Amino acid sequence: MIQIKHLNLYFGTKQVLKTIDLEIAAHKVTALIGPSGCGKSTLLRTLNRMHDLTPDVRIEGEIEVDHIDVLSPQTNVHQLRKKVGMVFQKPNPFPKSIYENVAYGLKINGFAKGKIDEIVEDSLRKSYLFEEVKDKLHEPATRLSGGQQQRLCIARTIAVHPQIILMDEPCSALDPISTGKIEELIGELRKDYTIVIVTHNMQQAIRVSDYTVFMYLGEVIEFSSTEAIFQSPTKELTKNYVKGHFG
Amino acid sequence: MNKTKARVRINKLFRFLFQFSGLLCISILLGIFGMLCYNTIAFFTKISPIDFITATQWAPSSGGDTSTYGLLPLLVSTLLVTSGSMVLAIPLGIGTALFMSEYAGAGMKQWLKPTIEMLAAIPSVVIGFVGITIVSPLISTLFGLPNGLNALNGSVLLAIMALPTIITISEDAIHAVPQSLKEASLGLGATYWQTLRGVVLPTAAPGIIAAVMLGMGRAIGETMTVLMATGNTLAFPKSFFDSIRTITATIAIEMGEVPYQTTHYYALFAIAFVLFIITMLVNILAEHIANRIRQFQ
Repeated sequence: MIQIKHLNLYFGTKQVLKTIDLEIAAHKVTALIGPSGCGKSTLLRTLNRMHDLTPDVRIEGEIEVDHIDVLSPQTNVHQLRKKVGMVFQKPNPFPKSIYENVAYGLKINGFAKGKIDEIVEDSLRKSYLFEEVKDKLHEPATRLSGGQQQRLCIARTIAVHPQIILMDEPCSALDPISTGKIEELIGELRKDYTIVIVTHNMQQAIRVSDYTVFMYLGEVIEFSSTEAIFQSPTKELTKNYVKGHFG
Repeated sequence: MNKTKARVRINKLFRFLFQFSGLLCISILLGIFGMLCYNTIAFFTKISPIDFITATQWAPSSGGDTSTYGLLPLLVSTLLVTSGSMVLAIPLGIGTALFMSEYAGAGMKQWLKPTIEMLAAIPSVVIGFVGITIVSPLISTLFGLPNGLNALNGSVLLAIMALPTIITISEDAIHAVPQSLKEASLGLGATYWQTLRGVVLPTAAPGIIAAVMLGMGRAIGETMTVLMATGNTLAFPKSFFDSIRTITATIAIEMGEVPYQTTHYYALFAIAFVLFIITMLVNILAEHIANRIRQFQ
């Protein structure tokens, strides 16, 4: 689904990602783990070209998502981002109503008005939020709890029918119960979407992912099935990290 | 021991000073309001409010019983020149603010913003000069008018005066929109323009409304520029190409010559009261709109 070849990324003169080669499987959950500053969020954000906004960034190598050359300047980045949705670290609902939050992506992508109501409801159902908000769809989204807001952000993302969902530590600002709900949701979403999730929480990686990528100082140290990474890592560094010796 | 006492006393003294300055501001405000009300009521004991509102002529100096005190030509002049200035200043101001906040590089913004703020430091008399010597000849040539001292001229100048306020405060509001909201929008496939229109501007709206209201407040209350540059004709204006005389200009021109406590004298207070009510309504409306938007944030 996603092929990354010889990816190098520099912020100014500082190299943040070093010759990364990865192949991410369709309809699986792939977790990116590693200590802070190892480049996992940076890697995630190259997949939907979020670095376009950052000044002074230089990217070399190739990324292919569903036969789209992601890094090519000719690529329609808006089409790409529709295909590769993103859920952020802190819930970031728009200062609009719950309904408008989900409808936003549909409106900008020119969906027919009649279709929007239906898709909004469907997306909210798929993110396990509909029952909680069905009576207050037109109330401000900011009145929801943090966990609900994050599920709303997931609903907003899946509303535009992406193929891939990138999640950048989606539970780091949430309490354990909300985290549990999001993880349950990820388990449900994997049936329809390819998910790449950055997480600080190794237990979470074990619970939700099929594959795990361990990164350290901008390099991919080990990439294998989640079970293999946590049960029988081949590299010493991986072993020390997953056992909690550093991080 | 003595030192402690002194400290307590100083503490009390400052508390008193701050209390005093706070109360002083409020009493000055109430005092002005009371003075306006008192003189306005005095005016309405001589001229009926209905005549004041419906008469289409402001002719106080025609002497004795024949003078009329019609608010309308002055009010329409003020509203005409202010709305004209806002039509020019709002899109230009918000556009400049968007450019500075979202498109201009850090280097450019660094000199652009102080320069624009400097525009606010130009005295209104100087803007009046500009109106008489540059804008008004330009208008008369451009539209083939015998005289360019008209409402349009006033609007252009008031727009120039309102711009720095609108730009700086809007820019602050736009700049304060969290990056995470922009990313959320872009992440859904929105273009930068869709993001600005759909997320950035609505989120910054309370601040932008405040900016526009402050700018408008300046335009409504401005006296010297409109006095110098709009021709000061007491006729009922029919278009932007007519010379006008605003409420403020009328007060400034006539207050110096009017005999104390005559009907004419009270009439000037009455139109000032109207001006005060307009500004207050504009502020209340703006606050109301901003609050409605804010509840989503």
